[in-house]
Amino acid sequence: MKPHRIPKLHVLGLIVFSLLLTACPQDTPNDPLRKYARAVDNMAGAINSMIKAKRDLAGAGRITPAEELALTRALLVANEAVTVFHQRVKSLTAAPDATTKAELMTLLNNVTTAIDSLNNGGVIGVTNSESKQKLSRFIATIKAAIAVFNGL
Amino acid sequence: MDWLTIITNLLPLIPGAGGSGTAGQATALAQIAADLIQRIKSQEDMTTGQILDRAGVTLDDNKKMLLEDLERLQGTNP
Repeated sequence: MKPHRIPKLHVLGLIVFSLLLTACPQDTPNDPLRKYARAVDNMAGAINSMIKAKRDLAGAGRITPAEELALTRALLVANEAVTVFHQRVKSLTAAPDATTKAELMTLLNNVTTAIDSLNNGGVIGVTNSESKQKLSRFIATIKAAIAVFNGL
Repeated sequence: MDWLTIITNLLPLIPGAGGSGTAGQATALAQIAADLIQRIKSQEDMTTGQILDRAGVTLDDNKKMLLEDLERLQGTNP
């Protein structure tokens, strides 16, 4: 009798659900820099994922070379903006005061502008609707990471 | 951090977890999304310094990958 094989995609889904069943990450209340660190790491990770997704879609012929070039240029600008924000956050040794918070917000606004440009100049220009939708998921992830600062 | 928002955004990329698609390309994107979810989850066991260090390494890697892509693409699409 032929053994049943579980499709790879279903295994992946089970792995994700097992992650969801465990406790969600919590911020440490007495570490004022932690939420900054987590947000920067999420932005860096989401950009990394988007680069890999872009390469995968291009390799499969689902985005054109011109579309990939536009995405690449916009991703470079976004990555640089997050890098500047990361460097400033890493230089902090204590909870940011009002002046430092204002400075961080300016840097974060630069990230937001770069992500908007990535969306408007890169993702929206992708003609394959399925590819566009998938790339939009990573944009939404970066925006969720930025949204943590809305309450500052 | 709006963990649920992030999960909600990424789950549709994973066919076995509520998304759609069965092609090899869908599998690759699903793995990318699952890796990102795992990365975010792993912050739970890391110090703030470790998270910042990892972010720095990733940003450097991103820049290298993008410059490689730029060089490749500008050769065919100046």
